[in-house]
Amino acid sequence: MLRSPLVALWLTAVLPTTLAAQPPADFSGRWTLEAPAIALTPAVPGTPAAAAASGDLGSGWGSTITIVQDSKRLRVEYAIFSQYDLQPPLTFTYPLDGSVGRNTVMLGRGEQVESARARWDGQTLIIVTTSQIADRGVAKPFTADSTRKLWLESPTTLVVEVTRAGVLGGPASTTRSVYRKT
Amino acid sequence: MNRPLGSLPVWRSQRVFAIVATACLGSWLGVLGVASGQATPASRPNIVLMFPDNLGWGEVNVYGGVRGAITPRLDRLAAEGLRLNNFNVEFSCTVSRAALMTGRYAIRTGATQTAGITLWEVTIAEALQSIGYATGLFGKWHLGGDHPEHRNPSQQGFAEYYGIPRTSNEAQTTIAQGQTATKTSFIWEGQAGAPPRNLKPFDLETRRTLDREAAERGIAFMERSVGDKKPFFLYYPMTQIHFPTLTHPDFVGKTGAGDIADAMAEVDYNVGLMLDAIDRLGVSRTTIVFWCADNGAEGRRPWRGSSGPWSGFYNSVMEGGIRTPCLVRWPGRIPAGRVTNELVHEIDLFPTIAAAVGADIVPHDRAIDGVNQLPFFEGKQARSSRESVLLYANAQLRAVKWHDWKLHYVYAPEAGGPPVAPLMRLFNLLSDPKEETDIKDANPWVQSVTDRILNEFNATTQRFPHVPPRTPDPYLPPKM
Repeated sequence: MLRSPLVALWLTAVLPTTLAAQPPADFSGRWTLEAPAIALTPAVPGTPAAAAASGDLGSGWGSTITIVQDSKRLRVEYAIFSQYDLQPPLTFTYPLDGSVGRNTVMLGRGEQVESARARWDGQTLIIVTTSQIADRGVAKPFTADSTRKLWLESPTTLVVEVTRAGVLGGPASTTRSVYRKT
Repeated sequence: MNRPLGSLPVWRSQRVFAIVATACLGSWLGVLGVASGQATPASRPNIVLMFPDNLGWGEVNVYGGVRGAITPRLDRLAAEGLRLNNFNVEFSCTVSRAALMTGRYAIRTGATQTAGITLWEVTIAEALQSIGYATGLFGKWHLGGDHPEHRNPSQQGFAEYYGIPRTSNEAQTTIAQGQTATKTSFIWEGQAGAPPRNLKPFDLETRRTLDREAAERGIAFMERSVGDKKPFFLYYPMTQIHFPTLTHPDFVGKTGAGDIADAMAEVDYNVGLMLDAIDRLGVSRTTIVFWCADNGAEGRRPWRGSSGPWSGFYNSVMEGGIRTPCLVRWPGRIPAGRVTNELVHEIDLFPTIAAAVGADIVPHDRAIDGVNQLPFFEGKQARSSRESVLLYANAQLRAVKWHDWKLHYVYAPEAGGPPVAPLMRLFNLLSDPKEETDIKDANPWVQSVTDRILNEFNATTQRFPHVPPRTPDPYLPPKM
């Protein structure tokens, strides 16, 4: 039982408005992946060969990323090639107005196009990406979806969680990457 | 997914049994084998399996050799048969031989250099011997561990053998693996029912002549078998061009291009001796010849080999460590001059040979990872029977190949070196044969496929657990 009509009014009317008015998280900045240490254990007990836990696919955006965000879009940029390669960094732009954005990358296998739609869930940005896949190993083209969730655990800690839907009878997978602001 | 022959569903096992029973009856009548295209015992093909050591892709002229045109016999063999451009093997010597001989990924066998494989494993030789083949090994064994006298070739189906129990580098130290004293390494011989006999020290002098002597003994074995009218399985695991890469005196300085080139010229010559003998004996059309290497290029200086277009050396699962030359010849059955980039693995040889000899000799009581490639080799099937390859480094899964894709779960490009972050890397071997540009960010879907392949493999280990490394004999699998 609420003690006061004023408290009830604040909870039902003012608080939601206040939350809605809260500006969305701002992911802008330069972020560096906090890479897990590679724990080495003997591959075969008694032998010097080292083994490590398997890696994961990470955020899908590389280990050092630059994010530029305004009210209309979020842009992620990172370098994959060396200076010698004379290639621009990869750039992915996601509209924040609910419309579908398209990004193209060239990694030596033609122009690979992905479409993406972003939306806010509170302070978490959710980006759903769809790629059309045509591969020599598969009879028919198919689509592959992934869902990224971005949130700030602190002003200097960015978390990117990616869930990739299973394809061709395989399982889905989820990885969580933690970036520090640098 | 490749179909493991040893884990067939019940209905399929029953059907296989029915087919085998019918074929046996037909063979007994002396009719059905011919009518169905199945080999009868009398018409079964001979098998010659030549298996050089630490021989990289870049050593063979027909594969784009880097040391000049020094392999004319191998080049001709390629022209007479099938050249595989995507032939995969295990990453190191003992595990590769375990896989080749058993049709199983080596991790299932528990193979290690120090212990070899248990006598429970069924080898190609045992399988062929069970249907009347003469069987002989002439060269390197390396499946008997530190005490090869207790796990010697005659206990794994070879009626006779000659060569070295372990590996070639012992020639430099003369210290046998597992020993500490010098002059403990020997060239041995043996036959079924008798213990091995040490013939002479294995040192830098005898290392030079070993492959030639093994070839000559192999040829004598073929001559006897043909005289006895018995089909034969000749396994010639050559010791060249493993370090120390010191050749027969006839080939020292022969090419003017260094020790490895000289050794390759010797390999080519010895292959020629074998092929000439097959011709001379009049069994060319009834003999399947395989020539393939155990793992990728020798990486140890000063005898560092060439991986050709690939990165890495043996003892890594980079393509330079696990993709080797492979030539297959069967005149009249396998079309001449064909080249393919389809996936094939050394474990496929056992089921393929079983199909070629028309006998159900692949074990059914264990997981068999090899698949029958005979229809593909013969050109009756457009694609390989294999879609994927698992790549282990001893007990650790390192990577999975699926068609043209290769996903490293643990990227460790240097032989014996540590893993390098980021551990998971994806390459397309057609657009990036050197495995240099990680493109997982743009193609993350591939992991779903390779995870499925791994899950399916791991599921088989519930029914067929791996043999633990260094398991003593007698081994019996746990009842599941």
